[in-house]
Amino acid sequence: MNFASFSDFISMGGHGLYVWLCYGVSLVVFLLIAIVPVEQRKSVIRQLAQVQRRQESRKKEGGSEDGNEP
Amino acid sequence: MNWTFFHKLGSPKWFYDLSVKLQPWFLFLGVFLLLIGAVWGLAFAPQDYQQGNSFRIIYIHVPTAILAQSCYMMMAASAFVGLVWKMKIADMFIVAAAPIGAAFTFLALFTGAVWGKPTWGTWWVWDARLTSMLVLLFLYFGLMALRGAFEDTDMAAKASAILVLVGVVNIPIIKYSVEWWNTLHQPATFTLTEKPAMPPEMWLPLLVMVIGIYAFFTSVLFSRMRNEILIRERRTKWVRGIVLEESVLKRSALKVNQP
Repeated sequence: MNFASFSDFISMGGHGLYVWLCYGVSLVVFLLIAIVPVEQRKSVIRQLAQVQRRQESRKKEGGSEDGNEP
Repeated sequence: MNWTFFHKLGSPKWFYDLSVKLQPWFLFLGVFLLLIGAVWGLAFAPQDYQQGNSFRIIYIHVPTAILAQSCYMMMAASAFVGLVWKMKIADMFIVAAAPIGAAFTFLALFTGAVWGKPTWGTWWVWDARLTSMLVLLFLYFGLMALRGAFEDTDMAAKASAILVLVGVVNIPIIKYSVEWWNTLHQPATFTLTEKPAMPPEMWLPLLVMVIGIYAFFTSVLFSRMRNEILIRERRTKWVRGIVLEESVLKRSALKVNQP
């Protein structure tokens, strides 16, 4: 451990604001990078499932096979 | 030479299945190494004799800056492959990687500015290194905007591949900017040919962070590419199967939750 106490660690020899600002913003950006594709996947599955259901029901009615795809 | 691997790589289904298998490992490795590296760099590495503790920003700044450029180089290689061999997966890589590259470029610029304040006494100077990194950020933004401007995927793929390849000019400018021009920015921390000027207690956590950020990048890239594959291959049987399976699972889960 490079620091004598926890408050030393937080203050970073007077540079605490700069150091923690960098690490804080980076943490937020990293989390965003990781979460966005997970949410994106949910919405992609939802939309594609909707299209597929529409196509299935149209098929049953005897309409054209390839519905209105976006 | 056996080209089977190369051809398989071009198959979206093969890539999808492979990435499902590999992704959790990369995510685990990335998060694990980033946590270790950050704690090591923040609490245990010795402080710099000139900069004190503000130098600890290096453990975010350098890895994000390395990845910002390396992501662009990978996109350029991909753009070349896409133009020459018309590989579908190459364009998916570019689409999936660009936003991650932009995020890392932003972080490199942001942490650099915050580090600059206590070290140089200013948040920003218009010198070669900083300006060329800003150009890189705009290249990423331009690429993302260009994608949105096309209806036709093949046209969009060609246009963005060309933009990526033209923008490659900027990468050596970033790299050598600290040698060609007078600048406040210090020269490269890591080089392949020389020993780092820092003691191992300082550069080891940095190395851990660099490897960690590559693993994290790979895992996020896999997730994004899978989404891209689902959209573009939506008419194929196997994607329809995945969509059906997952939407049915979700519906039955909803029914269980609402008795």
